[in-house]
Amino acid sequence: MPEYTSAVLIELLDGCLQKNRRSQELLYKQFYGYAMSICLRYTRSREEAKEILNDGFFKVFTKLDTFDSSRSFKTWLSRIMINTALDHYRQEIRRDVFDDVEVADNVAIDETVISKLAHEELMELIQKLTPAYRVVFSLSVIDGYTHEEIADQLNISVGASKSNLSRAREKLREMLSKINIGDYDRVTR
Amino acid sequence: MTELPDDELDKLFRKSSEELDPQFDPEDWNSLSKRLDANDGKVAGGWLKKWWPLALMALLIPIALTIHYTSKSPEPEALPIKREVAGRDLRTGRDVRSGMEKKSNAKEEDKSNVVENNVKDIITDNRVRKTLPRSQSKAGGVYLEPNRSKGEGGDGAFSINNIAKSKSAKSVMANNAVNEDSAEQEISEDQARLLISATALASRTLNWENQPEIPMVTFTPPAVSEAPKPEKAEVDYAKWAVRLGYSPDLSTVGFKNYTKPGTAFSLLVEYGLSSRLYLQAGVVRSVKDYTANAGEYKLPKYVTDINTPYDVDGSCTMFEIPVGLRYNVVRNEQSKWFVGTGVSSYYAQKERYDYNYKDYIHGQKPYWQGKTGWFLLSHINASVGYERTITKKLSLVAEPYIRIPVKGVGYGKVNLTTVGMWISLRYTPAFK
Repeated sequence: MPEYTSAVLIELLDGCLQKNRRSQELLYKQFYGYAMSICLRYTRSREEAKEILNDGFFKVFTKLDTFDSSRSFKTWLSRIMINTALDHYRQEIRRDVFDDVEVADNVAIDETVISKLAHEELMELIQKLTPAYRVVFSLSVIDGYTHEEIADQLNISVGASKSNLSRAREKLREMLSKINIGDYDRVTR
Repeated sequence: MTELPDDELDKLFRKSSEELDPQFDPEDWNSLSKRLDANDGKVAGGWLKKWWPLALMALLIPIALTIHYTSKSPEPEALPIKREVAGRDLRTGRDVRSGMEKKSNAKEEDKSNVVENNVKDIITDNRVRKTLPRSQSKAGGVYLEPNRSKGEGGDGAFSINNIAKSKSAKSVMANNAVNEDSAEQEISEDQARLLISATALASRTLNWENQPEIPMVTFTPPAVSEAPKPEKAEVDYAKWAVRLGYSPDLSTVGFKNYTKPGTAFSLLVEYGLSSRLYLQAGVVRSVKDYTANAGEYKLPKYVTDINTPYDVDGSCTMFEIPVGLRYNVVRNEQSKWFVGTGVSSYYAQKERYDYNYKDYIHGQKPYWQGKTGWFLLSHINASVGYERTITKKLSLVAEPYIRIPVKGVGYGKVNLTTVGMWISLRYTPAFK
């Protein structure tokens, strides 16, 4: 991506290193959408995502001196956001009990409906997953982590990681099958 | 209606996630901005909370200086007069001595002329024209003349009636009068009683034949270069002093990875070994925030067996016992420049070390918290300072300092260097 190698970004990062509040605000706005989309898929609500987003950006601004400017800022940022989300998840699993939902077999989905679903609605489906399914699905499918890496990060076995991914997919299929045209119209009206 | 395969499902959500662009909410930034302000100490309350001692000093210093300079009363007029009298005495003493030396070699007339001239000098000099009341006759070491009335076999030089009637006494009164009316007034008996003036001697010839033998007094006037030092220098040397100080505490390992400064408060007692050399000891409480690279922090094996952090953020509350010497290099009445050196022992009261990892490994240790106690003679101290007198007992001290590690302190045995600047109030008790 040309944006993180641009002179504008370098100038912004320099300003952030000097703790210039205006530069920090501009950097925040510039990467708000990108970072928020990461946070949303690891949380169950926008409020929760906002909390992780600001925790992540706080780390960015206070630890910016550790950023290697020869590398991609966007990758560094996404890593911080994911790690912050995982910290949040680890705290959460101490409180929550996973509800191992029963998944219906052979769920049929109307593809014409899916094609019309908004990105926000698909994100809401991910958010409706249990924390364990949501995190494994996001790490594996969207952020490209291997099952070994996921197992390490979440302190679970590789088998559990694969199982959670499989069940997350089934759960998403089930939710997609329940969406009909009427629901779509209601949501997007 | 078909079943969606895994790869299609993944692709759907991946694409959706990549193309999702949540709208910016200014409230989110406001929330983070406030948090950053608090972290940077930009919030007014936060700034005051951290730097209130400096703010207090900034408030007190101008007030103290204003009080000091406005309350400085002018020196009493009597003092220069006293000095003049003393000077005159010295001069007279020198002249008398020369007259005495002449006594053995020169004629009697010469002697009386010398004394007469000296007396006339005293009379005509405006600065010593004031008459000396009998009640203060011994003040300033002036010798009270014995009663030389005629009734006592004297020449009547100090007879009250004579003085009251004498023209010279009137002329003295006229010279001292502030207006013409008072100059014309007759001298009352009471005034005359108080007027014991050398003017009475002006018209008289000294009778050297009838003089009692006066023992020879050798007077050696002090050389100008040996003039007594101002009393201030002597008074300034106080045996005991107490200092209450504040300093920002900038701690570092290897002079890199500086973090925001901590705070330090000190209570020091000073004992004067001489006017320039003081022994210092006391207690300092400080909060030291610093970052150490993994190599500079002795990581326990149970930590590195799982994962090795790339650096460690330390935050320690320490008590320090400094013992040292202070030497006043430059001493003026109002200020001093000094250097100091000594050793410090530390007591680690509360420690927390956060381990920062590049990659997460399950089971890694996030931090260590506890206290490790005493580290005796772990640092060498050096400082330079400036002291400014505010009042006789109170002065203000600015003293940049450095604590150089001799051995490691804390759980990670880090070689912690601390720099800062004491802003202290120094109080000298009444006893010396």
